[in-house]
Amino acid sequence: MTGMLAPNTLLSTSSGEEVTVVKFIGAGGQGEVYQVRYRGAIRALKWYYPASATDTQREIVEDLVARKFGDDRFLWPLALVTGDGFGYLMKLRPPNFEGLPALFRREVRIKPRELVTACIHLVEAYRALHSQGIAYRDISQGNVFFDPGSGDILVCDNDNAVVDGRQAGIEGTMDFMAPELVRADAGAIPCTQTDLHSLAVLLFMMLMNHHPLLGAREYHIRLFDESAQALLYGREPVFVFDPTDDSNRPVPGYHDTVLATWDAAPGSLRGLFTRAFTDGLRKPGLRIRETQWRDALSAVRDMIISCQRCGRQNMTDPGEVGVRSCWSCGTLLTLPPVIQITTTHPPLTRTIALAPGARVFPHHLISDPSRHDFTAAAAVAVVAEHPRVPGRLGLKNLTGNAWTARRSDGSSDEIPPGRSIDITADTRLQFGAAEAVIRRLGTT
Amino acid sequence: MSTGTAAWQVLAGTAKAARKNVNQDRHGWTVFPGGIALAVADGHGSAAHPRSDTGAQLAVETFLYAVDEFRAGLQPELPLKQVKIHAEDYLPRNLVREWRQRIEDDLAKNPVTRDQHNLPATPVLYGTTLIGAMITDRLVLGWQIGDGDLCLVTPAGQTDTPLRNLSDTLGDETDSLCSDDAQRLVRTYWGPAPAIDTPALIALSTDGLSKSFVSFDGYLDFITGVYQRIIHDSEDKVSEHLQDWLEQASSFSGDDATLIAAWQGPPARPVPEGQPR
Repeated sequence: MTGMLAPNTLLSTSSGEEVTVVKFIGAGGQGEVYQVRYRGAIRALKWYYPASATDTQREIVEDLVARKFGDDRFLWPLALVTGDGFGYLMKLRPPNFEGLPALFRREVRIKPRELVTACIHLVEAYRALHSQGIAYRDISQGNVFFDPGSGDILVCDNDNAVVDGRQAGIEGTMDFMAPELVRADAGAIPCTQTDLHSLAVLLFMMLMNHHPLLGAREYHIRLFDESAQALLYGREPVFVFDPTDDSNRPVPGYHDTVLATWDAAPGSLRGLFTRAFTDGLRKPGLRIRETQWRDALSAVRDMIISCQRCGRQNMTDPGEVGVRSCWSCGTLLTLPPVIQITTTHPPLTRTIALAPGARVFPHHLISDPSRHDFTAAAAVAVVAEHPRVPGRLGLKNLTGNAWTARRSDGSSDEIPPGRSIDITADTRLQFGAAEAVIRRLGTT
Repeated sequence: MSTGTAAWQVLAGTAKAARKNVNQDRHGWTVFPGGIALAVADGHGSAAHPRSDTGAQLAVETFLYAVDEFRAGLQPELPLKQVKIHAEDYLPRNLVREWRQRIEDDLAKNPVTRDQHNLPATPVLYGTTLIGAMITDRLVLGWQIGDGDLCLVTPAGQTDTPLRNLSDTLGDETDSLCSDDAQRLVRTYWGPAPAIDTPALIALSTDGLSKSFVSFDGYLDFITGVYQRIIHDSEDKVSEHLQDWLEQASSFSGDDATLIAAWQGPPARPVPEGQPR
């Protein structure tokens, strides 16, 4: 493939700066992507096909550039570029980021902890975008990339995002569209409310590896086309696990993946998905908000348990004590001790499994964090093995301040920075304004 | 991108592995005004898939049928973004669904008896890979599930294998049309005008060919060599040798080896519609 722009083609930004085409990277549905040189650095250039290079598209790009949205989770348009046509500059996607289709094809492996991390980052990224009054309008599997090693995400193709409520045509993928948009209901326009439906679909696909509305009804359609999509996603959408309508259940032997992944999902997530694809399908106001997803996903991430027999990670809820078996080998899971941290304003209790390597982060200590940071450098505590007593686990203070620990016998200790406290049931700790207690909940 | 006025020529051959009773590879093609579609399938052949030669045959036929449907849906005014959705979403889904329907039909006509296979009557009996491609004056598209190779050759002789998946080369397990959620396992290559040039040659082959070489570069050199010989010698000369080359490849890889290649030749020699073999 060569592309519309030959190597060394000179283009310019709207402010007159030079952009030099280095090489063609790939083609999409609206345009092509090139590697270019700009201000001595390598950047990416999206260049529209003539049919997509409309005045409206140009206005949208100019508006997005002017917003200077600097969030590092978005490959945001940095500058309008013109030549014989137009496009925009953005950062180049690092090679460690993979596309979701590769995940769905099982070409990329990711552990549950990093998968849930990616979901949290995704939800928070869209929350940040929506808080700017911008609707993405085209959330789909093709626009999100993730790092399987860390769960970091990148959202690309932001050139369909517009100010919430603005009328602008989009030929989005129907499988992610809110039903009212698929049906073209009077007054229905892509907005943050419709983004919430698309986000729920994307989360379901990431966690369940399946579309939430594709079950028996799709199976019986021999020729899949626009009218079939309009039926399944717009006129008569039915969640595959709708508790009151079993007409669209997954077909064993054809939809086995989602039967297995749904079974392995914790009840909190199953509950949110059920609401998103029952009430949320019919009443946009009842769709699950980003903060609801964030809190549920964060709680699940804190309770990911490795099976003591096969080592596979299992997503659990604190409320599933004593009932959940490993999705892989069927062994009843054994829960490690947990730490329950209660925040102030408003009080909110989080439960974190204290397995080796588990960390407590700043977002655990406040009620409404703007962003989760799961990097090791951000941690305030980590579960570590005693340096001289193998197998003895302690909670190590990674902050610059001493902790105060009170034991169940009434004794107390100062835990200076860099030192650990034994993980003993009923020990209480003060993390700034948040209070914590170590507990042994039993067996999940 | 070419205007598509030149006729597409096709060269194809297959060789059965010596240790096997049945060649489980199948291939086929169809030409249409301004373009061509071609496919190759590799039935798994192991004990769990005793009808995989039929599965491969049905896969090739179903692919060519699905391409006809796909082309019928390509209205001239359809935006490219929608065409991409048709290519990457509709076609894989319809291909898998139609293949499974044809399997059900075959099972109804030829029920599995206990003394035959002692296996459940499911599509797993018919497991197969599939690689398909379609070239028109607007599009160069490829689809692949499982192993095997799709190779594009430029007029300058440069090769590109855009659907190659390194995980396919590890071990003997491969994705299959009989896999759960098979439509999601289909890899697609999207090459719309004006982003791409029509390749000078497109080659589809089962893994019995590329595995016969010490390295993947050897396979690429072979494909380039086939193209150079077609250009500099003649198609007839290449055809003379193709069967020998494939049998040699099969003896090295221990697997059936099949190659189907298409290139744009002079308009005077249109290719008749090919029947999958």
